[in-house]
Amino acid sequence: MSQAEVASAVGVDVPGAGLVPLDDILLTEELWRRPRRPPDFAAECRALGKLADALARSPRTILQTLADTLLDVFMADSAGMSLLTANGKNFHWAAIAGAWSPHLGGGTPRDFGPCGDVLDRDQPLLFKHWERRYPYLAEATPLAEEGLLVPFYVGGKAVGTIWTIAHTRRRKFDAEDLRQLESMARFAAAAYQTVQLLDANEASRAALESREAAMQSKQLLEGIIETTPECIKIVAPDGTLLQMNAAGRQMIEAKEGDQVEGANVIDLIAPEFRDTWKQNHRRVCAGEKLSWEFDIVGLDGTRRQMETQASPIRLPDGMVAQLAITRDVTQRKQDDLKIRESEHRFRQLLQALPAAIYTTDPEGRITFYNEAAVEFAGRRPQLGELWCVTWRLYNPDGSRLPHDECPMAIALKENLPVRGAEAIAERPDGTRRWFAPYPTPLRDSEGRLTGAINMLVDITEQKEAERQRKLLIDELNHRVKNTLATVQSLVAQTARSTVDAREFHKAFEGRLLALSHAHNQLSQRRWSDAELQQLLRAGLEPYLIKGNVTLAGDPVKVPPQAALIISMAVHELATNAAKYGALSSPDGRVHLAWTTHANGAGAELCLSWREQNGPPVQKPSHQGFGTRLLERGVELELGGKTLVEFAPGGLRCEIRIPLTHEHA
Amino acid sequence: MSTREPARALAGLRVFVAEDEFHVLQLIEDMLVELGCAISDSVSNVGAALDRAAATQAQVALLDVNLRGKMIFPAAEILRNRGIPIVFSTGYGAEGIAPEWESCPVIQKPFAIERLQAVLTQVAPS
Repeated sequence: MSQAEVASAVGVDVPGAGLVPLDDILLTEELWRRPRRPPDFAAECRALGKLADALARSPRTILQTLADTLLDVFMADSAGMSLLTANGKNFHWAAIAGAWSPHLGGGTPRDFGPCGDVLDRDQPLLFKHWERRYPYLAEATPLAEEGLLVPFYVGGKAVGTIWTIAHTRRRKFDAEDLRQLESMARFAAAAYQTVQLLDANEASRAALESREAAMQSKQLLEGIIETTPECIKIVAPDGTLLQMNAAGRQMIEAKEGDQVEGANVIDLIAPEFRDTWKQNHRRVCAGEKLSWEFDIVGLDGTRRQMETQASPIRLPDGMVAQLAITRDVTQRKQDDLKIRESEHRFRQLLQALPAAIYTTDPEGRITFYNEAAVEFAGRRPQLGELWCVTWRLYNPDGSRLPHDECPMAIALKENLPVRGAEAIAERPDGTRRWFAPYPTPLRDSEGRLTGAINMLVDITEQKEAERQRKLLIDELNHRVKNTLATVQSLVAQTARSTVDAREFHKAFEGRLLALSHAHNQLSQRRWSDAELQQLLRAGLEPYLIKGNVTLAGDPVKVPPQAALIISMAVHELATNAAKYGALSSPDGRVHLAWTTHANGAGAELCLSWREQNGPPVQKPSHQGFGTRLLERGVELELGGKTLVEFAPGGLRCEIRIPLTHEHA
Repeated sequence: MSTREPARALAGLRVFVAEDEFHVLQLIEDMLVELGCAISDSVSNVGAALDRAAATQAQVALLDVNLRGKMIFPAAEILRNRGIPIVFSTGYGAEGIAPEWESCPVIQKPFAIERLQAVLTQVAPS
């Protein structure tokens, strides 16, 4: 059992009654009776000098130095210092030198021990065998034969004692010892104050420092938490809100001064999200880190979309709660929705356009195409395919155009729109379409390339029209040249059979007009064919008006070549009849009739020219232009046959022409 | 109509004529007669031209390129293979003739007898 424990065990609980009286253990008077040893001021000075030096050099150990000095100066067996504890109930042995040094840290009760007695009597006391009154001191060995105690004071109040002990009878304290010890007591007071001050200083500085540091870091942390624009909160396992920062309070629409801590968080969660929230909360409090989204309904009823990152946090009381950083993502979600809606609208728009349209990312991978593109390409491309929706590409000259050299690829690689290009797309079914692409790079608001859009305009019809126009011009050229050659021929042959310019003029003009009438009829029907009756009427009009030519026949259409020959041939017959035949006399009549009938593979047109009531018929002496045309022309050009009969009653001519023939 | 001395170089030259327009054929034949040539064959469609090309005794062929919308070239091929020089007559100009025939002279309709005389003289075997 240590001395301190002894002291506290006895303490004030043990009454003084029944024990040896105080005076029985005191022999203070003896100090003056004993022979007084001579004072050694030099030694005293040395001792005080040593103490002063120690106080200056190492104030922390000054009390122990004092004890050592007492032992030395008094040639005692033990020496030390007792200090009244802060609560005033005990004396604490603050420094001990000599035999008792193992008892350092022990002490005695204030009201039941030698030190207390010294303070009570407010004077130095000399004790002998104090264990007789204070049994606990029997444990403090070696026992004290004599002990001299002197109080010391700070600010007029006794705060402790210094003492010297003789454990044998060898040393007996006297008045000189008392004088010296009282002198030392003044120093002890100074030493004590110094140590007190040091302790107080250190304690206060340490306290100050740790408090400031704590304050600073706490303020910093609180500052960070409070100013964070995200909601930071701690939620107890039962859902109680333990702490929430300003941003959080704003999100839940708490007013200035509203007490939110202690409320149940669940009440703030939108009902359809509560189950999930509770489930996740449980998992977080069980140690998981989670993030999820939910809606809250603020105290004013505003719904907000939140995104939370939650981690478990152990509180000082050992409870694991949820620490959550929660973001208001309402605006972001609305923006996302707007963007998606806007994208959807654009896509609908593009989808609705009749032109083939597709888009790619910056690397040329297809990200969108409309149905018109599918129709144009003749295939449904896969998203992610490169450059083109089309199957195969060709240049206008017919050479293959690799997809990675197509206008879209060039537009993306050069980050420039391509205009004026033309290409041919081949579909998987082999059909080909001409198109004009309009690839245009797309850039974001900062000018970065985000992809490209391409519109493919089908120009096949336009190209076909161009081809047709060229064909038509060629054909027109051909026809004009051939017609000029025909006119050249008419001139030459008419010149052969006429004797003067006047006669030539009349004959040539008649033939030219016959040709022209046929052209008129063909032009009306775009050179597809001619209506026979109209063709004949146009050529025979003057005679039809006179009434000496009659026409009879079913409606029938004849091809252009036949129309030209028939028109010219009938003109020759009529001219001949007007000169020599039925149309040269007032009573003469011409019946022109035609029929069609099946003949082998196709139909045959049979035209019959019959003259009546004319002058006597004479066979011409030479084969003229008309005869050559009727016989050779019909045969060569139309594959037909002409029979001319110079019958006595009038000329008869029968022309048979196949209507479905190579010539037709 | 003027009369002219038959060109000696072309006298008796047998000519194969293909022309679908009767009047033009008539004109060409008249010109050839005037130049002293003999008309060995007169055809107005490609079918007839093919029929006659293999057996003709012609020394020169004067061929309209387009007969009723059909090209004369298959018949021209036969004639060429038989070593018969060819002159093309056309309303289209030289443009409508494939490169492999570019060595053959082309006369554009309408043409004067002098032009016909010149090309025939150019191609006629001596």
